[in-house]
Amino acid sequence: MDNLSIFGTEDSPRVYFDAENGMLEITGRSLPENINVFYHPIIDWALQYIKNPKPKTKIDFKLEYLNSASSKKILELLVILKQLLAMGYELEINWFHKFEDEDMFEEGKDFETMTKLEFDYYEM
Amino acid sequence: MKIQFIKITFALIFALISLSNFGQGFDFAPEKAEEYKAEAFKHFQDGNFTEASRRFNNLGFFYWEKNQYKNAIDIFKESVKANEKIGNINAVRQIYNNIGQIYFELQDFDSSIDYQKKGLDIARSQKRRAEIASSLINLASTKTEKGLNQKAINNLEEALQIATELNEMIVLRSCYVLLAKNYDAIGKAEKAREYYDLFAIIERRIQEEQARKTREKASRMVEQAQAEKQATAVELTVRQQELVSTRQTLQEVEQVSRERQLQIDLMEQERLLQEEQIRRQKLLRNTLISGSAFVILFALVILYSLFEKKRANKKLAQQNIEISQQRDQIAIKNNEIEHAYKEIKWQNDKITDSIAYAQRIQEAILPGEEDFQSLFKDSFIFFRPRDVVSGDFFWFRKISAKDNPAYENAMIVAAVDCTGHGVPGAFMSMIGVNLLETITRRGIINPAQILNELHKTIRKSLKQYKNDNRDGMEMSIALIHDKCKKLEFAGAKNPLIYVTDKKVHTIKGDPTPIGGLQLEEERLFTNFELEIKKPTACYLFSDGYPDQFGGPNGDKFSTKRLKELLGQNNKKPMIEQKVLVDQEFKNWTSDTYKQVDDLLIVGFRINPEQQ
Repeated sequence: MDNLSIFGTEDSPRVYFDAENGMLEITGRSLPENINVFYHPIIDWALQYIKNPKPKTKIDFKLEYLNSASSKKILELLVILKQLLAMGYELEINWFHKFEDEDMFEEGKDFETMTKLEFDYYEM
Repeated sequence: MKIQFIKITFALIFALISLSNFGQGFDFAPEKAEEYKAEAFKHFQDGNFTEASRRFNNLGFFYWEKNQYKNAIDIFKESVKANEKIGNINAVRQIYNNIGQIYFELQDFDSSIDYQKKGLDIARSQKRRAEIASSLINLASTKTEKGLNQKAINNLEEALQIATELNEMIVLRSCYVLLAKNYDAIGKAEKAREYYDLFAIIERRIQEEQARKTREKASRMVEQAQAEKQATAVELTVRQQELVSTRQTLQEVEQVSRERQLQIDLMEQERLLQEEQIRRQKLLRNTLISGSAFVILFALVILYSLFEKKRANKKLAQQNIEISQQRDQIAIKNNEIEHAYKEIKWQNDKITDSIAYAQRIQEAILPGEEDFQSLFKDSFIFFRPRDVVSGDFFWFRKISAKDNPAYENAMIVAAVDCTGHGVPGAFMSMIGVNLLETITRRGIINPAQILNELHKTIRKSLKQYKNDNRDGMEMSIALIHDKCKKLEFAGAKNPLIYVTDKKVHTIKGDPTPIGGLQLEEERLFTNFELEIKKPTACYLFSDGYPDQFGGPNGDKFSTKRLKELLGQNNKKPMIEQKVLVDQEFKNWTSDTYKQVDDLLIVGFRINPEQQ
């Protein structure tokens, strides 16, 4: 399937999902005015991807800002990817946060609690 | 999008500069190039510096075109030597600019800056302001690439001054776009936007200028066509006159012919003479016939050219029509644009009025700071919506015996952040306030139970179990009872901060919000209980303040920093703390960063001894 590439802006993150190698990346700030319009292609891509995934999928979150609406979308994305585990595939989740940004680190921990997935934490 | 714009502008600037330096377009086969180079050096040695420099320049451009950068640079340096010999500093300056640009293409920015600086120095010594400005811009764009943003800005400001004095719009445009790029790079978003706006304005003016020139050209073409048409008409008249005079000549000739015929009849007896005469007359007749044949041919030629002129006229008339049509279309488009602008302005005004009205309603429904201060004497509510109406709201209530006799006089305080801000947030806030009233009036006063109930009701009201609506709220809610000796707390994503004896504590609450996607079987919030033995300052807040961008590096304020701020000031009266919180926000955003979200901080002091 095609890769997904979305340009980053002041209010929306850069997204690069590589279907060939099972590598997904979301970087930057997420506070787009119309949350559904922005995240629709991302959620759609994920739904397609899990129909025919690679044996191992890796997703890197390198976020500087997540407004509440974006958090809900990230949660939705994680729930979709969690299905890979049930299907017997590997899933690696890397949660990056800016040096000293405790709030973003906490957000990662909260997602971990809510989804019961395992996260690896890194500073950037 | 902006970035694309700037890159294209850059390319155009360099293309224009390059084009002004290109001209010769010599092409050599490799052996011929070596020959030519040898000739050039020979001229140099013989003292023919002008000839030498001309050849060096040709070679330089040749190598440059073939991407043999090193050769090009070396040869241009030779040309500099030659030009210095004859004191042609103007040429030296141009060549330095060329070298600077080649280094740029090689990505050797340091060397590029060196040579561009040399070119700038010469332009300054020549006191040629236009050249100074374009050298400065070259320098600035190289420095931009190298990341020397502040230095680039310094150059650009000087260039900007010159360009303004000379009123050179193209140069101004380059200054604005580069300034915008550099300010953006050093994080001064407001200044970057200022310059980008200026760039947009001047871009529009340049385009209007071009459009005006095109229109002028079009009207000149029309004038020219009309002039041609006039000339053709004049020619036509002249030809017609010629035709008329030719016809007259023809008639006269016929007349003569008839007279001759009469003479032949009269002189019938004198055969020899008559024969001779007949012969002569025959000859004459033939001449006349061929003469008229020529005339007819001539007439045909004239008819043909008349036909051609008619065709040309038709074509010109057609072009005329096309040009007037285009003019009309432009006028129509202008009208449409003006009309659209007026309509958009009208719509905007209506929407703004509507939101202002909604704000008055929201203000009426939400409780006020003074009412809060009658519950808690030492308290404040710091509330700054981002737009006119807000998705954040605060709520509090004193429980009456009718609500729940066991908790009479207990107080509930909540700080709520609904999904979205502006109008959608305000909608949710109305639902939230209403629900908090009804739930507490039903006797449910335990904070965790209130959140459980809110969560269930919101999911049901917005039918979230069967659609993909994810709206809801994040909130922190506290119950103070037993004459301020007990505090209970529950949080949906938002915490409680309380300070006793200068020690700052945090109760984080649950990571799940109210409403939205529910992964677990049933969502139950955790209730925390605290015994209050000493005066305690409590703070509830939404994530707007900690998530605000600002400071020297454009970071988020962070919960950590907010805790420090509240901890430092907690002993001061709450109304004073509100002022300090406001000041800190203004310093943090320092007019450069815009407010990202609604801000809400509720502070109140509880003192078990005073109740």
